[in-house]
Amino acid sequence: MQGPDERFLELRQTLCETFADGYERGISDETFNRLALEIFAFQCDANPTLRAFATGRGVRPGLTSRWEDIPAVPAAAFKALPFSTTRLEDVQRVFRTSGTTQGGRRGEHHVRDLLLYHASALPHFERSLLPDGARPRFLNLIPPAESLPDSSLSYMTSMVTEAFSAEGGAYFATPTNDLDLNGLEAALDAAVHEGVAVLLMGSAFAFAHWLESVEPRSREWVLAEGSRIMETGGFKGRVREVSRSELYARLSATHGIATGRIVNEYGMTELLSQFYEGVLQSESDTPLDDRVLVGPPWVRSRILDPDTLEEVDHGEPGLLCHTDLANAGSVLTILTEDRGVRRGEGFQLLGRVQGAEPRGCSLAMEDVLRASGGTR
Amino acid sequence: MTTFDGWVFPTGFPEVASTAEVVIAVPGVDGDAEIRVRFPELSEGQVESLARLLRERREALLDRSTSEIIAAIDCVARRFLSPGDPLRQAALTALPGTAGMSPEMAEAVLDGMAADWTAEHLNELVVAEFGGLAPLDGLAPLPGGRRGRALGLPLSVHIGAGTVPGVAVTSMVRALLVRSSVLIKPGLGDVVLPVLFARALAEEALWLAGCVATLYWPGGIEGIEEAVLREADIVVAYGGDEALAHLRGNTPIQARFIPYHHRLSLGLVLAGASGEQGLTDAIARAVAMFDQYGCVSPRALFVESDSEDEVRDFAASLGEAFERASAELPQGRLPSAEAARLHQVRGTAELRGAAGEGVCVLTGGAEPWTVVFDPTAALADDPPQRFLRVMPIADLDRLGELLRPLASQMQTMAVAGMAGREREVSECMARVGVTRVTSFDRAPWPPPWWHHDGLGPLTVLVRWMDIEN
Repeated sequence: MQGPDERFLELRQTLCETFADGYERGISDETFNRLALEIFAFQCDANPTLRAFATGRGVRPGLTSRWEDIPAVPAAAFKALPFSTTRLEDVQRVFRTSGTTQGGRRGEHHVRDLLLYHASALPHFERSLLPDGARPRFLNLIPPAESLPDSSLSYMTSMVTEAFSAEGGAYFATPTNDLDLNGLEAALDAAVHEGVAVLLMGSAFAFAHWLESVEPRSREWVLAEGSRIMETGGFKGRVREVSRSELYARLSATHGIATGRIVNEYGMTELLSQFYEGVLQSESDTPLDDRVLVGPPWVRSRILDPDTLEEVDHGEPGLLCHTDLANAGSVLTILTEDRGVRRGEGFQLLGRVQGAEPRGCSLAMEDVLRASGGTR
Repeated sequence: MTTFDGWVFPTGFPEVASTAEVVIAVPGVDGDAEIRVRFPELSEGQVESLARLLRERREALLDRSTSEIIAAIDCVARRFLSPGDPLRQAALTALPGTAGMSPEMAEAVLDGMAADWTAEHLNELVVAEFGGLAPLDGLAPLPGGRRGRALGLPLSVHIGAGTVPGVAVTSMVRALLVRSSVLIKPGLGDVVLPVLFARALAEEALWLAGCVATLYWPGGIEGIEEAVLREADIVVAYGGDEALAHLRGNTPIQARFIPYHHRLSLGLVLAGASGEQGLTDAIARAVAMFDQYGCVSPRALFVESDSEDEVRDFAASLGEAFERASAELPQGRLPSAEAARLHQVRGTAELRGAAGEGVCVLTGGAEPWTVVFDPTAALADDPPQRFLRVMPIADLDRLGELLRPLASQMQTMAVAGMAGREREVSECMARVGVTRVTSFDRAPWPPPWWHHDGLGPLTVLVRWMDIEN
């Protein structure tokens, strides 16, 4: 009988091999199903909470034949419970959500093995941001992993910078997300002077802050051909200061980078795989409204009916639910609170329903808890 | 497709040429229907003229007695309550779609709200606030040998939240009682009743209707809100903390600002009371009423007990009551953001149960109610969709410790088993900021004389003039 650790190592090996040639050979429905069910059975054996949860939902690992039947763990549960397939002291890293809700309690993703993170994140990043084989200089408006060890975004930024950046890759954000504006200006000046293409990476919020600093001074750059931008987060339809089209237009004007070379990334602390708009792979300039987020072949995303949690018909809006094989060490299938709609090869995130207003009075338990400093 | 005109101007105010609309999608079996709520696009100049007209018309109110005002309002209230009346029919037709409620709920809410606008309730309110009608009608003797006169401020602006239909009309009625003209902006979910009320008032008492303008506009439209606030002598505003902070920032310093911000109401079953006849049904109805959106709706339940098993059993018995309440008052439409939240919270509770934390989750089959037994006494970010977390609490001291940080947000505490412990309970509740202690039966329907969020609902609207000897 194989021990749990050997079983994980074997799974990890299989997954790394599958991811390595996942693009070339593709992952068939059958392979995906087999691997997902194997991971699910392993996770239930290693984590009695998941087993009890599944059994409570009438799903018995080992007897399930469809990966779609694996019960989804809501993302919010990461705020209440640790999910790991090994002892908590043995996990390699704990990533935490930024956690502005639930009275400030943050979700924790206990990552058993960072190798799977690398195996998933690197190829999909390369395919989405560097499909032309370019190696631009990475200028990051995101703090590096060593200064923000519990941020999965920082970890990923450092990971891809180390793997793919040309010489001179650098970081211009502090752990409190303050920007080193002078440093970034100097780095952009240098890149223009040297004629080196750059990849700017940052959150929508950081870019907006950056533009507010440089625009009044009419600072503009014409970055070398091949330069590009990865922008993450901030466009889930929440109330915001700047619309996406406005932000992209301003980023484009300030850096001399066409809006068609600005790529949105959507990631979650709870998932080791990410989603990108595949705009750099296409010759034509896709309008913002037509862009879709695409995950790697080892992630299957479904859109579920918010009432029944059944999969909706193609094109209908619903809740996003991701099954990510890279999450073998924690939780395979995760139900988000994000609304999305399937489109083409991927999905689009949806904003608030048009004409809907937030309902007041007793509604915002969240407000109440936040105002009082929170009790859970 | 239905269109609803979300405004009523006082007679003599020119109709506005330009209108816009907001579309409410109403999910149905055969796909979504739509309700279009139209609203006029007023210029700042038009807002100023409207305010000027309302101030002028208010002069006529000063010559009327409080009894006359009450009688006029009562006529409209009775029409809303009278089964055959077209006004009631119009309300019951338009409410479910705009407020997102089931027809049964709309009827219960209309009955409960309109009762508060009847002469009987209004007289009770004025007497509770002023000791009688006299101080509103002229110089009158006051307690302590004083004499004085209470008069509402000339123009009151009311900004509603739209959470519970009828709240905007109640706000309007209170202002009229103290002789304030009213410019009211209801929330989208509460647009129907103030419009119908103002139209009916024009049929019953033109002199009073002339002091009322009802005007919906979607929050966030620039210009109109600022212009309206500039004209106000007093602003009565309902809504989320962020929205109210914005309104307060735009209210002139001379104007009074009365914020009815987010409140938290809870339930408490005292030791030995969990077996009380009818208690579980009363709790279920208190939670179901307004689909739990009311500021008076209990959002969590504490059961005083040192036995987890007893509280778990009690939570289980609540499930059946929630099912009955769902049959009686079916759930309205569930906004998708809240449906999303519901899955997160339910799933997390299930997982905590699976992890051996003792949490149990009960849910309705077809009906979306949720009862969670949670042995950890701590409030959580639960969605307001007939969702009740039931938690054991050792004693009132422990409850006090838990609620003290929430004192500025507390409102109603629905309590079972008060007999013999009134003094102890009221002392504890007053100290943690609770402004209303009641039974579960009464929780959704405060009496006319209640101190709304701890304030006199009429005295907060008046300016007193003292006559010194």
